[in-house]
Amino acid sequence: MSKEKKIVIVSSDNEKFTVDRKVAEKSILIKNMLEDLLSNEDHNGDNDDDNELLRDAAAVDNNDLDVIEIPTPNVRSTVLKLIIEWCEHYKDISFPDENQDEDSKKTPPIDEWDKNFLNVDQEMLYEIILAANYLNIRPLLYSGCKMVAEMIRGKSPEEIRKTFNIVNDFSPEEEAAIRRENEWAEDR
Amino acid sequence: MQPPKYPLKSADPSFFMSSHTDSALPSNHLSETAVDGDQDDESLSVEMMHQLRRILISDGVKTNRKRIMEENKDDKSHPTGDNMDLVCTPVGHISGASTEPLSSLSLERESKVIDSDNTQDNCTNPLVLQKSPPNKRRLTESVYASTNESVVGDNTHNHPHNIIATSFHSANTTDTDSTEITSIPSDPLATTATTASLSGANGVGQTTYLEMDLPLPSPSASPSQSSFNNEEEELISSSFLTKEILFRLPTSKRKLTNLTYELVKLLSQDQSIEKDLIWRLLSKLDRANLSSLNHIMNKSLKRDLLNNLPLEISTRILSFLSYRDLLNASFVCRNWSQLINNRSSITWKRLLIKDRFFKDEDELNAELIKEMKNLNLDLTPPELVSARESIIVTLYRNIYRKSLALNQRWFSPEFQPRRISVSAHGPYIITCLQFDEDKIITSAEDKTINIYDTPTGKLRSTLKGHEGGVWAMKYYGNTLVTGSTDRTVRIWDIKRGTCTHILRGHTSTVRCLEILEPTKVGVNDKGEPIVFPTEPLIVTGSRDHTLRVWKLPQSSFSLEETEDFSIDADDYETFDTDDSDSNPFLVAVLRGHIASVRSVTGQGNIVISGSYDNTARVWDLRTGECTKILKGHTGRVYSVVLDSKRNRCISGSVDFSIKIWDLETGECLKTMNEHTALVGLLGLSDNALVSAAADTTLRIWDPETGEARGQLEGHIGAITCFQHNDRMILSGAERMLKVWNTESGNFVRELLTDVTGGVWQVRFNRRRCVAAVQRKDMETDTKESFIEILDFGENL
Repeated sequence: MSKEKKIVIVSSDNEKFTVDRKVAEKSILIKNMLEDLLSNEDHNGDNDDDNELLRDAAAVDNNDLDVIEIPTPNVRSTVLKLIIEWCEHYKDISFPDENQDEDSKKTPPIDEWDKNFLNVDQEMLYEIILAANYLNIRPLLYSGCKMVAEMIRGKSPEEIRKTFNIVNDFSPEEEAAIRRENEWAEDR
Repeated sequence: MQPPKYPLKSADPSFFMSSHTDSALPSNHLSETAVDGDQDDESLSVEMMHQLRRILISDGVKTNRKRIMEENKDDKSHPTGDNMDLVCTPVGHISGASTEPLSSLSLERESKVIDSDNTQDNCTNPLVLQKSPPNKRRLTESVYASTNESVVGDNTHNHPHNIIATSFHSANTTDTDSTEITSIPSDPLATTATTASLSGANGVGQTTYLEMDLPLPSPSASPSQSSFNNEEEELISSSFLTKEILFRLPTSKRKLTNLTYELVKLLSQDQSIEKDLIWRLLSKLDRANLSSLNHIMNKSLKRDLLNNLPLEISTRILSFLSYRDLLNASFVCRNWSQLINNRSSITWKRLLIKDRFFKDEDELNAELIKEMKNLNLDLTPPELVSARESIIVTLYRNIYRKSLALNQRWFSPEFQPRRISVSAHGPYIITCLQFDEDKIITSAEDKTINIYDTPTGKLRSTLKGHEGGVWAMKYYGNTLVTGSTDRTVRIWDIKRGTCTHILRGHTSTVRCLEILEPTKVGVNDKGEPIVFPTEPLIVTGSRDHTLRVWKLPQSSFSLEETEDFSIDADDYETFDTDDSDSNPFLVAVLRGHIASVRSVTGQGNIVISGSYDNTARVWDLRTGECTKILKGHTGRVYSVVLDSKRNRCISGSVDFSIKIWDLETGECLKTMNEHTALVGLLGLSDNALVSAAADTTLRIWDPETGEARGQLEGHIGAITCFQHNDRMILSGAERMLKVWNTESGNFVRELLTDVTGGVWQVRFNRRRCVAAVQRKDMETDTKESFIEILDFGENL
């Protein structure tokens, strides 16, 4: 990180959020974006002294060049605000390698903080999951998914329908067919 | 003509959701408003018309109307002179939009209707919301202000809380001091208002004005009306209108409510107005009502998350569920059933591995292919492409079902597997055993190797040639490798039952061997995988203190495709040379140990050897060098396992201890001293390190920390053999073959109760357990070895 740039994330409804780079980089999408941007700019071959100067200059002039605006056209400000809150909370925590993902034998339960954080209405949860997916914030996406899984876990079909406001659209015949198909598992 | 709808009837989501779209982008409906308005207005009830008329006809309005008409006279979209404008005109400015001209939003009626002040209404002239979008907001606000005032200003017969409470069908009509609401801090609201007013200047902000982006009203963050105070002050002149409205309102509570609702409906075509209006209404609520509302809101905000989210996310969600949950979920509705049973093979795949029915994807894929073979399924034809996913899910479900049933059988002491006992190798000790679905191969002290048919137990062939007992054996594909006290390593063609190669070089007993398959050991600069070895290798350890590395000879007819057995085996000459220097199969000789090599293991380019010189050594086959000497044991090292995931190895020794080593540094990370006799056997699965000792116990360790997790007691002799995975441990010792639960460390069941001698070997796969046991006849003092095949998968 050569220069301390101001990162401004802009929501779909044009609200602007200024965040630290390490907060913004919880989003792999933004991280990659920044890396591309900054590596292009860094080709000016500056050394540490120059950087110092540049930083000072930026501080004095409040130079607009040192502000990077990142639009997130799919995320409205309310959701973005929450996402940034999440990123702030985890800014100093580095998550394990993404490849660990496939090691599906170990799925730790949902983090308590996340569980609290995601204790929102279903619409908001839906939008957070979509936004985390879009911004590529895997731990948040997974926490969101686990949150939904929690809502299904241990429930009867009828309870699940209630939870998500779903109408049972099976015909009695279909339902019977599914039951028959799964009969073998019932007594286990 | 519809009767007036009662507002917010139960949890009608449409009220709050009507203008909400799935898009995260706020939609701007301004341009459509006028058109839509026409239709909507037709549904206004007669009663409503009257109410509206009563409200709107007042001196103040008329006065204002003139002014507004003047302002509007250049407006080309303005209706013709037959129409008379009724205008609600807030005089003051609205914060955040103060640069805009005064409101001129009109409610149009035919003049005669209005002038007549008659109760009869001509509904062919509906209320028309004039097309002047920027101003519409003003109307809302002024009307809203009116509503507010009317509500607040006339407590005697219309308590605000009661009204709203009624609207929300709240049982709770208790009057709560409204100051409570204002006293509740409401930062989010203030912030939003500010934001909205800021963005209002650029036009875009119009739609976001007072968007409902505050947390839903809740005891900890209730909305307050504080942010509207300014506006209300500025709209003072409209309070005059409000009073007019109130005086003209002889209404019941219900009528007022209806009126409010109809106004909202009228105005709700503009999202920003609607939001604003709703928000203001909300800000008047007390906690109890907010709570009721919150309840309703949460209900209406429910959505079919699983079905609405993209497939890859849905399958991810499903992967966090258990089998039973999936089953229940598939009963929910057609979509869910489709999703679970036809579209999410990845979920089932993950579940099968998560539930430890399969070690990894490779093992599962092999099972899938087997299953497809069994069913004669070929998914390659293009016409099957679309059905492919669905078929694979079905197969996975089938595999899961079988796995579950199998597991049930293994863990139920009552279940008796089908058993086949076959006499084998006479009285001799069976030294090695390996099997798969097709064949069982055993080697013994008696210099021979037997190949049995797994399903029937029938002896297929006996491989003869070694001149001493066979103490090391492993097969890879159709190629069998054996090591003997006769100092040779022999390669056999399993199908043909012939010896194809004799590899000489060791100068003493070949005691152990390992086959290394090509493995990805890293990536090069270009990100391409580096595979080592390039072809399978054999590593043999001997009492001559050395290890030898050989290419695994794979005879041209060794693989399954070739079923041509017409050529007589005798026509093939067995490769054999005494000249070890020119042996084309010898890759390297690993020298360094100063005593017998007792055990060897490896993966990729790494080989670990355990020796009677009390050390284990780490070798890098890329260079043939010994990279680390693991010193620390005070007795012979009997067994070694490699933990490539953590770049460690674990050794068990005659000194009773187990040590965990770091391969990078060669340091001993941990020593476990709990066993009270020599540790002869070690095994590592994903989740568990298991050791078996001569102290009659097995122990389970955390492979990460080396912490003790369980002690398996019950055997009455030194443990002679065991195998485990993450689910179960099978162990054999004098007269006993036991099953244990890997996770809990609990004893599960006995597998054989009639063994009278030792249990030499035990191996299991998903379906079968194969053990080499000894039976003693006490009377005649004779011993006989048997192969026991226990089949748990019958009729599944």
